[in-house]
Amino acid sequence: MLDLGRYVRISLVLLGGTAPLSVAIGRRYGFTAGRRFGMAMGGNLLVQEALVGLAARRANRRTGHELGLVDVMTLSRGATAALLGGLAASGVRDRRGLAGWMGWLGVLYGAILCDWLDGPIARHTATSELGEVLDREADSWLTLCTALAAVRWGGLPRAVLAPPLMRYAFLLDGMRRAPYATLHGGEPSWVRQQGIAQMLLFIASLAPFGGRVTRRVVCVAAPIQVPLQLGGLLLQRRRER
Amino acid sequence: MADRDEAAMASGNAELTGWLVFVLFVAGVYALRRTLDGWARRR
Repeated sequence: MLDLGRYVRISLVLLGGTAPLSVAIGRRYGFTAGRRFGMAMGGNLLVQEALVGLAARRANRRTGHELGLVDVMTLSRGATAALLGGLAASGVRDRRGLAGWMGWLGVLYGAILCDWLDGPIARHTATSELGEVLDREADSWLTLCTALAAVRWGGLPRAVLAPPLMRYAFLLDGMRRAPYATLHGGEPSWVRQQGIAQMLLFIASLAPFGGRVTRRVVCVAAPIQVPLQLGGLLLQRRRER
Repeated sequence: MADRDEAAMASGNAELTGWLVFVLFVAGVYALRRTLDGWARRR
């Protein structure tokens, strides 16, 4: 039986983080921005926690899996995605100010610190099917929210939203034909390298200290990275079929 | 003119410092990951 109380406590801690952040945004950028931020981040988190709760309950019934430290790290990555979604919804475009720093440090936490460390910790404490699903989906959601942030206040073109959105379109289409678990086997190594290049582009575009040189590099890299990644996604889909 | 040059230089220095700190952060997390990988393998 899933320890529901523990899961609810974890979810409440993550949701509780919305309040002080909303107050900080509200104080700096006005009440409306703070309210929009809080509603978007809180709503995003609530939906995530509800979906993960359902998945965890189902996995617990089948395998007896309980949420561990790595799953909590993954859930906090989801909270980072919610933070970015909240900032994008707040209407604030302040790359060099408080909002920019909050978003950028959130990306470093979610996309580098958690993403790089949860693998070895999971291998140490025993991996699970649910953990792998959570990891993959947290990664995709964080990528989409970071792309949205990069468009909103990082100055990137809307085209950067296409690869993360296409991944969801392919996933939904694939799930009509085959179970979710069979859709992600044996990804070639360049998929990960493309993912790193994509995240680096987002990190550079959102960097609060980014100046003329960074802007120039971002402007040159974006039109190269997006078609390459779209091509990679299409190629990968052809191989899977 | 001199003020503008100074401002551009300060902005360039901040940019360079920011990226240096970023590289150190990435290197630190990577080193930690390698350490944890070794720890997981030994187990």
